[in-house]
Amino acid sequence: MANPKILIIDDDPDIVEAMRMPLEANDYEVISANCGKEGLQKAREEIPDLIILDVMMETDTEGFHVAYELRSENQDSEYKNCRKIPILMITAISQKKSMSFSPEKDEAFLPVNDFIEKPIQPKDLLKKVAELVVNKE
Amino acid sequence: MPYNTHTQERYLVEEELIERVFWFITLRWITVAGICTTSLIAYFILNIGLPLIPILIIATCILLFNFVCITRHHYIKCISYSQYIKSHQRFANLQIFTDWIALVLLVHYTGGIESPVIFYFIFHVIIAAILLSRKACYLQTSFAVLLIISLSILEYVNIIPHVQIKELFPNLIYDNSLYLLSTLFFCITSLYVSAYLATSIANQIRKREKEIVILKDTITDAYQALEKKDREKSEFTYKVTHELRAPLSAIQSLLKSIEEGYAGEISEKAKELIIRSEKRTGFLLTLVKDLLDLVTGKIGKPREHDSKSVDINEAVKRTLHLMQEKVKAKNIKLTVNTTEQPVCLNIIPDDLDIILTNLIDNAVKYTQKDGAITINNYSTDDKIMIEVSDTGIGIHKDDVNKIFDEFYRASNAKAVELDGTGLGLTIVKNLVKRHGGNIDVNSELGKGTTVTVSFPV
Repeated sequence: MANPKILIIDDDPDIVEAMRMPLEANDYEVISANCGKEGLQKAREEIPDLIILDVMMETDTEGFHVAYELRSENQDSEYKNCRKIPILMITAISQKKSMSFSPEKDEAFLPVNDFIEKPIQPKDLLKKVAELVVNKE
Repeated sequence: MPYNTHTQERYLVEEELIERVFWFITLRWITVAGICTTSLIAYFILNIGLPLIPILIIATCILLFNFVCITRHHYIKCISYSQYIKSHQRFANLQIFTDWIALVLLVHYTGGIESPVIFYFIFHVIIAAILLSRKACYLQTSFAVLLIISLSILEYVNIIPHVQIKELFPNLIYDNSLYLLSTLFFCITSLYVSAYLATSIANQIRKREKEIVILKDTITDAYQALEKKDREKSEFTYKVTHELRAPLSAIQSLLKSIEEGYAGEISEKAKELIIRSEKRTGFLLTLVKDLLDLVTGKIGKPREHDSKSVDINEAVKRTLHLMQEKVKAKNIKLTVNTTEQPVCLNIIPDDLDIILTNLIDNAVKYTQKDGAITINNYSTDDKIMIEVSDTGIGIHKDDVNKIFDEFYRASNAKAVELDGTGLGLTIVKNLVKRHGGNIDVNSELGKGTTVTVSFPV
C-alpha cells in the first residue's frame, strides 16, 4: 500500500516545513499549498488521506471557507469526492478562544475533525495525524 | 465641541430657571398662609382693627392666581425648547408683576405708607433678581416704586381713601408731606440698593455656574480623549502582538522539529542550544498571549451577545482539569468547595477561563511541593465569588498594591519562578473589571495568599 498522502494548506512556509519534517520522517507523503484556492485545487486533484488546514491565511476566515467548501452537501459540488477526507485544523494560541469552538461541540458549526495548536509539537502532530488517517481507513 | 458646551451650559442654566419658577410658586402658597394667619392673629388676638374682608379677598385672589400658575407650569408646552424657556421667562415676569399689584393692595388695606407690609417689597426685589435678568429686575423694581409712589400720592390727595390702623398709628401721619417724602426716599433707595446687591450676587452665581458647566465639559472631553487614546494604544498593542505571534510560532515549530531530530542528527551541544532557544521563544509566545489577553480586557466593553450564562462550579472544574498534571507533579493537596446549587454567572466564557487559569496557575506556581490549594465558590444575594487560597510563598505587604501593575513581579516570585511575564494579575484585574467585578488579595509572606474575585449578580 502506498504511503498515506497528507495535504498541508498553510501560507506560512516555515510552518509547512516544520510539519513536513516529522511527517516525512514517519513515511507520510506530504504535499502543500500556500493558499485556500491552491489547496482546494490540490485536494480535488490528489484526493489526499488527510488535510491539515490553517485557520487564518490571507484573511481571518480563509481556512473556514476551505473547510466549508470541502464539506459542501451540494450534489454538484466540485469537491464532492473530498467530503470524506478528514481535516485537522491549525489554530494559534489564544485564537481558539476568540472563536470558542471545540470539535465535539461545534462539529456541525465547523466541519473539521480535530485541532492542533501552533507552535507545532511534532509528537502531538504525529499522534493526531495517525489517529485521523487510521480512522479514515 | 464648542457647540456642545454651549448647549449643555444653556441647558443647565435654563433648567434651573424652570426649577426656580416652580420654587417661587411653592413660596406663594406659604405667603397666602402667612397673610391669612397674621391678619387673623392681628384681628382676633391683638385686636388690631384691620379691614379683614378685603385682606382675605386679596389672599384668595393670590391663591387662585397660584392655581393658575401651577396649572400653567405643568402644562406649558411649546414647539421648541427655546420657546419653552422664553415662555417661562415671560411667565416669571408676569408672576412678579401680579405679585406687586397684590402687595400694593395689601399695603393699601393695612395703612398705606404707614403699613409695615411695605418691607415685603424688598424680598420681592430679591426674588426678581434671582429669577430674572438684571435689566428685567430693574424694570420690575421701577414698577414697584411707581406703584408705591402712586399709592402714597393718591392717598395723600385723597383720591383713594386712606385706611387707618388706629392701634398702630393713633395719629394720622400719611398726610404729613415731610414724613411721606422721607419714607418714600428711604423706601425707594432701599429697593434699588436691594435690586443692585441681589442682581450682582445672582449674576456672580450665574457666572460661576456657567464656569462650572464649562469646566465639567472640559474635564469630560479630556477624559474621553484619554480613554480614546488608551483604546488606540490597546488596539495598537493588539495588532503588534498579533503580528508577532505568527513568526514566533514558526520559529518555535521549526526548533522543535530540529530538536527532535527530524532535520537529521545534531550534536548534543547543538541540541542543548536549540532547547535553550526554544525556551526563550516559548517565553516570548507566552508574553504575546498574555499581552493579547491583557488588551482584550481593555479594547472595549463586552458586547451583550458575547456573554453567556456559565456555572462557576463547572468553569472551575474545567480549568482544574487542564491543570491536573501540574498539580499532581507538585503533590499539591487540592480542595474545591463548590456551591450546593449551580451558580450561574453572565460572562464571556473565555474571560472567565482566562481569569481562573491565571489565578489557579499562580497558586500552583507559587506553592511549594506538598502544599495545599483551596478553591471556594460562594454566592450571596448580590454577589458571586470565587476564592483561590494557597499555602504558597505569599506576597510582601509592600508588593500587594503593585502586583496588579503591568510587568511587575515581586522579588520572591522571581526567585521561585524565573520566567513570568508579570501580566497575569493585570489581565485578571482588567477582565474582572470588564465584567463589573472586583478583585481582592489577602496575603501573608511565607504563609500563603487568598485571591477573591467577586461579580455582581
